[in-house]
Amino acid sequence: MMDRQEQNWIAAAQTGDQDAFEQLVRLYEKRVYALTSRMCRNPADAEEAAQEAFLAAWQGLPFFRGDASFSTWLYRLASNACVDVLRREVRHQAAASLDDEDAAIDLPDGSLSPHDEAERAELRQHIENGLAALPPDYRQVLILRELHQRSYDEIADILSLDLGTVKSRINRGRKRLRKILLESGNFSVPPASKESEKEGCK
Amino acid sequence: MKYCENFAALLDPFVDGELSPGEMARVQAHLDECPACRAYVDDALAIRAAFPDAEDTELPDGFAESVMARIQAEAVPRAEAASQTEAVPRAETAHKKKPSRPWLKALASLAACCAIVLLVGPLFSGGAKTEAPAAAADTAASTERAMVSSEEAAEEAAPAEAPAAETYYTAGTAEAEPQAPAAAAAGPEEDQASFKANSPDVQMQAADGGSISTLTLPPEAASLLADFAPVEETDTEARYELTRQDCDVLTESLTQADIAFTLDDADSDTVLVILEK
Repeated sequence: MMDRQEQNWIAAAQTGDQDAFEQLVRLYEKRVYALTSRMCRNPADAEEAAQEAFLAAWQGLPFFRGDASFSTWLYRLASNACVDVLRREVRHQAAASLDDEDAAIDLPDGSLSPHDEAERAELRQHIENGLAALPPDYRQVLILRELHQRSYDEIADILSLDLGTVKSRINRGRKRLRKILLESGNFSVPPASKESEKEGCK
Repeated sequence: MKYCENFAALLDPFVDGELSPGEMARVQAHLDECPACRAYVDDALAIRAAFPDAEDTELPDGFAESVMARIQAEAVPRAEAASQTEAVPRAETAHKKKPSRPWLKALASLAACCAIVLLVGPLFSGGAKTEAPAAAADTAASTERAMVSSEEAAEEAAPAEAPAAETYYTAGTAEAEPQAPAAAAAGPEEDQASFKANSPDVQMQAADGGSISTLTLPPEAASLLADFAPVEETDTEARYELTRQDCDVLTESLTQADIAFTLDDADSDTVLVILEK
């Protein structure tokens, strides 16, 4: 789901245009940060991972072949960065609580055309509709996880469930929402003929 | 959509940061090889990015500016970088030293510098622990300064063999390099291999640091270790030292062959493998 303007920025950034890359950063920074903050356990790690994700994107852009969508590629870099940061993590808890006091100001997005803003809003709307259509049990855990960033243990406490139930509801909720993504063109399915027959990993 | 049984249960905890760092890395390595699991994780991330209110995430002030500042601070021009292998050893251009300091190369990865600043702070300023949190709070604003000062600090730290050697070590692991995705060139893997081959200092520090991952195997696993030479052998056991990469491959084979094993994972880059006889 790549709009024209984004494609132009990507092409320019691939040849070394830093201004174009900055537009991409502004375009994706909140989503990438949302991603890393929900995968890392504290804001300091999340920010570091988000920065690393964009650095990796800058370095890897010349090699980006477009066989996955740009956002998919960027989100993978973000999750890789989270793993890296978590592996290096020795930071004291005190550091995290200090970060919470940082003044947080919303930065302007890279400017998109009205059409493309509408596209993004449409996907968001799809997800919202999908959430509304989920069985309440699944919706509840996903909202606690994604919106309120609760850990599995916390969710289990809040809802008086055991851990296994929390995990399976999250899993099923995500699978249901994947169908929403399929309809809006964001589903990343490997070639069906190959993968459904393949043994996959052992 | 068919999911692998071994990893299916780990994918959600992976996405949700609920696994140990070692497990995270294992899943991440698996994603590089398994399109089905990769697709699930990609979609979970896409859901997250499109979730209501993801756009309202409060970013630290000046995030985009600090990203661009780090990019502009790169010593190697883009054109030069593109013509070399992917992970350009930036530290080696700045320090004309022997290649026996590969962990400095990883330190040039700017995020690693932030970690080093935090670690070095208490160590070199007489245990003033309050400086570490302060440094963390300033991360966004001072990454550029941090890069320069931490490279200097790392130079000092190298001969020091401080008790925190293991943390320097983990900061300097191959994984600290920003990982390009599977779709990109094979550069990162080659780079990791050469990095590991050249890192005797790092391994020694890990051993001295005390926290090395240990994999214990029953006798029937012997054939899987046929490619490796033990570093030590007694009547009751044989000991091997494997790279993290080799160990991951080995544990996969063990699982495939249905051989039980115990992995005590301390996230070290080298794994001590004990084969019982």
